[in-house]
Amino acid sequence: MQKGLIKVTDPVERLIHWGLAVSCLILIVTGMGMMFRSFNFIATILGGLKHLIYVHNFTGLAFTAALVFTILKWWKEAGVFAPEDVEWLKAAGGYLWHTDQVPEAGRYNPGQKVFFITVSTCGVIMVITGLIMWFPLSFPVWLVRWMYPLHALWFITIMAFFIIHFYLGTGGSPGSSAAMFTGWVTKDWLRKQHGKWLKEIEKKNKLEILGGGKD
Amino acid sequence: MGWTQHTVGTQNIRAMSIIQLLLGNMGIAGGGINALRGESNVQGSTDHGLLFHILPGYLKVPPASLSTLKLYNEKYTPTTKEASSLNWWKNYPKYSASLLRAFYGMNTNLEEAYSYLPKIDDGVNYSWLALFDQMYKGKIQGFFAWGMNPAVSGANAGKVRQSLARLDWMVNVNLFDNETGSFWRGPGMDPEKIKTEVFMLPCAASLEKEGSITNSSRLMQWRFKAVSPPGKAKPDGEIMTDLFYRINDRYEKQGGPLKEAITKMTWNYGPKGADGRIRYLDIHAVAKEINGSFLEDKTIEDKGVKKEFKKGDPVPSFAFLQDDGSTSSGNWLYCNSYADKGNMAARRGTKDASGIGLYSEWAWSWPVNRRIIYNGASVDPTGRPWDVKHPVILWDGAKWTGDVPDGVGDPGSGRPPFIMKPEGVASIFGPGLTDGPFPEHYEPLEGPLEKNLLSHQLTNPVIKRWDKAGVGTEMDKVASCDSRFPFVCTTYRVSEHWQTGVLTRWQPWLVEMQPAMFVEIGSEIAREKGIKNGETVVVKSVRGELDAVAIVTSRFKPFKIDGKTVHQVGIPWHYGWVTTATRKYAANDKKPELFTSGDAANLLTPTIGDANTMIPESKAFMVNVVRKEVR
Amino acid sequence: MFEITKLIDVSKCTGCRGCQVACKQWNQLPAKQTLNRGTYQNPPDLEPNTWTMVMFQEASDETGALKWLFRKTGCMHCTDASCVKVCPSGALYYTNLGTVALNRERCVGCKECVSACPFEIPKYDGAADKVAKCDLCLSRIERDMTPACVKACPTGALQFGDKETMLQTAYRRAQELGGNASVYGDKFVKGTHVLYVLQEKSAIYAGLPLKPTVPLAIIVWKDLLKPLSLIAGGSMLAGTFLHYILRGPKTSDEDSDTNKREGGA
Repeated sequence: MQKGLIKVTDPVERLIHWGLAVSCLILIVTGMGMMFRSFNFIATILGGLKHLIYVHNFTGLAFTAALVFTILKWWKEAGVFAPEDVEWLKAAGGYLWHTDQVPEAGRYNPGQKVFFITVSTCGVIMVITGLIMWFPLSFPVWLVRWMYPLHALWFITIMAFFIIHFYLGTGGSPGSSAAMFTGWVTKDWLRKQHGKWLKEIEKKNKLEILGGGKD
Repeated sequence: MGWTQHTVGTQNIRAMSIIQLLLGNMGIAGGGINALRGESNVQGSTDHGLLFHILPGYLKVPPASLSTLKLYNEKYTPTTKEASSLNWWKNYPKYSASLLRAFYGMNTNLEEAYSYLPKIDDGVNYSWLALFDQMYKGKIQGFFAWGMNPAVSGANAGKVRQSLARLDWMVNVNLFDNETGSFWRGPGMDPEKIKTEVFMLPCAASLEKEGSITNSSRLMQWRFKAVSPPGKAKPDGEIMTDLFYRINDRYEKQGGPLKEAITKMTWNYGPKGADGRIRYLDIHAVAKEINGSFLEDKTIEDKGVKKEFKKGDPVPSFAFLQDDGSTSSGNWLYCNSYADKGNMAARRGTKDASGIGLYSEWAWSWPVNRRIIYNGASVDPTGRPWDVKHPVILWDGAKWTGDVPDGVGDPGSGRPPFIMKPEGVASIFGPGLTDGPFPEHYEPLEGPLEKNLLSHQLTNPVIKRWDKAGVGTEMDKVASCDSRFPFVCTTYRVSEHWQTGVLTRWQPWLVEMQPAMFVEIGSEIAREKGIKNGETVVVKSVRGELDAVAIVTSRFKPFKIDGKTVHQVGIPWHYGWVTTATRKYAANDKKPELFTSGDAANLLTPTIGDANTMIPESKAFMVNVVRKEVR
Repeated sequence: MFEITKLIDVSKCTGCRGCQVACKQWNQLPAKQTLNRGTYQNPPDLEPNTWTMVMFQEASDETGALKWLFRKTGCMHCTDASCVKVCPSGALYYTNLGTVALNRERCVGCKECVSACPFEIPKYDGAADKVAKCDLCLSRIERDMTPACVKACPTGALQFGDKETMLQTAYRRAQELGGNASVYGDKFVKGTHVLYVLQEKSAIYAGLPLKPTVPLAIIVWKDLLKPLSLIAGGSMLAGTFLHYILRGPKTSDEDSDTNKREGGA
C-alpha cells in the first residue's frame, strides 16, 4: 500500500462485515440448493441434501451472531436517517447519472443506510423465519406455512440488495473495496464518496494517514 | 352370545324361536336363529361333546342308573304316535353303537364297551360353576386347563382363583403364560402358602396345525398348517396322544378303577409301528374315524337298491350306520364329511347353483351338506315354496333340487318338517326345560329393582342359588338393591381383543389399539361422581374390585323404570394381570412387547347361571364406580 | 395415465380396525405403548409408525340424535399434492397410478411436507429423521394386488379400483343412502385418489377440512416467489452489467470540483 492512504475502518468492523458477508453468501448458495431441484447439484459437493441443510442451518447461526454485531456496531451511524439524506437519494448518489448536485455524504451515505436497514430487518426476519422452519413441529401449522414464503420473499430482497452492494463495492465504484479489505483508502476517494465525514475527522484531528504525516 | 348369559338365557332363545316360528321364518332362506358365537369353534366343541352332559353327536352322557346299553338306548330313543313323523332320533341306537365302536373298536362287545363309558351321578350337575365350587371345597385334586383361562373367564373369578389354590396339580395347556397357570403368583396370592404343582404344556396355535373348525352355520371348514409351532409347542392332538400312551401304560402296570376305559380304547390316528403305536399323528385319520367306516363286509338296501360295502370302506352317510356294531363313527352328524368323495371340509368350490348364497361346494356342513336345516318347512304341504323368489328346495317333478332336502317327503305327503322332534312339529308351548314352558320376564338375580313390573315373581324361581347358605361358599355373595352398588353393570367385547385376551394381550398391534381395561359410563354418572373422561376409576361389586379407565360417553343413557332412574355401565372382559407392567416378572418370564393395564371383569360377576345351562349371568349385575382417590 | 382410487364408505364401517392392523402388517410397522385416554381411538393420531387410523367420534346430528362416527384417515393422495410441491429432495413424488409415494432414502427429514399438507398427514420420525405416510400400498398395487387395508376390510367399506368406476360407485352409494350423504374427495386439490362416502354432513367429521386446498402460503412461495427470485436475481445481475456499460463506474475523480475531466488529461 502506498503512503498517504487514509484509514477508514478498523479490523473489528472488517471482521464483522466479512463474517456477515461470507455467511450470507453461503446461506444464499445453500438456500438455492434446497429451493430449486435443479440446483440440488450444489448439495453433492457437501455430500447430500441433508448435509446442505446442516450447513445452511448452522451458517444461519453464524449469520445471526454476525448480524447482532453488525446492528450493534453500525446502527447509530448507518441506521439513522437525517433530513438532508433525501437530497442525496434524489440524486441517486450520483450513481445513476453524472451529476455534481450530490450533497456530501457522512461516514455512511444514505444509500448505504438503506442497505444497512434492509439487511438488518431482512436479516432478523430471515433468522426468525429460519428458526421456525428449523423446528417446525414446535409451532402451529398455520404459522409454519407462512414462514416459507416469508423466508423466500426476504431472501429475494437480500439477494437483490446483495448483488447491488457487491457491484457498488467493487466494479461500480472503484477504490471502495479497499475500505473493507485493507481498511485504507485514497484521499480522493474519500473526498468524493464521504466528503462530509472527511471534513469531520480532519476537524477532530482524527485523520490517520498511512506513513504518517499530514495532508 | 350375550342372550344366553342370563338366568333366563334359555328362555331368551326360546322367545326368539317362537317369534321366528310365528313369522314362518324357519327353514327358509334368511330365516332361523343365527347366533354370533363367543368363539369360532364353539359349535365344533359341542358337536364333539365337550360339555359334561353330552357325547359326540349330542348323544347323552349316561347316568349311573342306566347300567346297560339296552336301558340307555331305551331311555333316550324317542317314540311317537304320529304316523307321518320321521322322528329321526329313533335311529339313536345306531349312533350310540357306532360311537362305542369308534372308542373301542372290536376290542370288546357293545355292552362291555358301554360299561367302560364313565357315568355321571343321576341328577348331579357337573357344569362350570359346579366344578369350581367343588374345587373350592377341596373335592378336586387335579385339573387340566386345556386352552382356557378360568382365572379370567370364570364368573366370580376371585372364587375361581382361590379354588385353583386348592388343587394338588394343574396342567395348563396354552400358547402363553396366563392368569390360570400363574394363579399362584397373582395379586393377593402368597406362593409360600400354595401347594399346587402347575405344569405348562405349550401348544400350537390354530395356524400351526392342520384340522377343522365348525362354525355356527354347522359349516365344517378344513384349516391348513401355515407355519410350524415354535420351540417345544405341539398340536393338542400330539399332546393328547403322548398323554394317552403314558396313562395307558400306567393303567396296564398298576391297574386302577375302570382301567379298561383307557386300556381298551383304540388309537388309530396314524400309521402304526411295530409296537402297535402310531408313529405320528395324522389328523386326517381322526377326521376319517369321525366320519366312520365299516368294520365288516355288509350289504345294505337303500331306496330299493342293494349297496355292497367292504370292511374298511368309509360309511357314506349316517343313513348307513348300523346298530349291530358293524359300523364305527366318531360322530354321526359328521358321517359324510370324509367318505368316498374324500375330505369334504377342504373343498373350496365357489359356484352357487342355488342363487340364494348356499355355496354348497364350499367346505361341508352337517348333516350331509344340508345348508339350511328344516328346509322342509320352506315349502307348503303341496310342495310349493313359501318364498317363490328365494326357494331353498324345488320339486322338479321327480325329485327335490336345490339344497339337500331335510327329511321332506314327496310333495303332498304331509310329512311334518321338524324331523328331530318326535312329533315332527316345532313347539311354541315348550315343556322339557327346567323353566318355561313359555318365556317369562324375570329380573336378574343381582339387580336394581325390588319389584318385577311384568310378573309377580321377581327372579327366575328355578335357578340354583349358590348364594344361599349350605349351597355355595362365603365367596358367593349377591347384593341386590344395595346402595353400595347402585349401577347395573354389563360385560361385552371389543374387536381388538378376544376372549380372556390370553392370546391377544400378547399382540403389540392389538394392544396398541386397546391397551387398558376400561369402564364406559354415562355423562350423568360422570357428573355425579366428578369423573373426567380418561381418568382411572375403581369399579367394584360385592365380590371384588378393579381399576379401569373411565370412558365417559353419551352412548350409555340411564333407564327410567317405575319412576326410578337406573344407570348402566359397561366393561370389556379381555384383561388380566399377567400382561401388565406393574406385576412382578421372574428372570425367565417372557414380557409382552407392550403392556396392558387392568385385571379381569369377571372378578366382579356373580356365581349364578341359567336355569338349564348354568351359563353365568355376566350380562347384568350390580356395581359402583368411584374415582381412584375416593375408593 | 391409469389412475386408481380407494373408496371409503363410512356407512359400512364398523370400526373393527382390521385396516389399521393390515397396514401395519404389510408395511412391518412397529406398535408403540399407548394409554387409553377415554376413547377407543388409539394411537391418538397418525404417527410415523401408524399410516392409517380409525377415528372414533361421538357427535350429534342436526336432529340431536347421537352418532358414533368411525372414519379411517390417512393420506388422501391428492392430484395437486402440497407435499410433492414443497419436497426439496423429490422424495415425495407422483406415481404413474396417480398416488403420492415416498422414497424413504431420498427423504432428508426437512419436515416441509408436515406443515404443507392441508390434511396434516405426513408425520416426522425423529429417530430415523424421516417422514412417513401411507403410500397406497405401492408395492401391492403395482403388482395388481389390492391395498392391504382394502383386502382386510370385512364389510366392503373399503373398495379399490380405477378412478372412474370408484367415482361412479361413490355417487351411486351416496344417492342410495340419501339424507345428508355426500361424496368427499372429488372436488378439492384437483381431486384426491382417496374418496369418502360420508353419511352425515361433512362438517360433522372431526379433522376433515371442509375445503382443503394447497395452502395459500405454499402457492405464494412455490408459484410466485420462486420464479420471482430468479427474475430478481437475474435482473439485478443484468442491471449491474448494464450500469457498468451504460453509465460506467463512479470513479473518485469524476464530476468533482477540483478534478474536472478534461479531455485527455
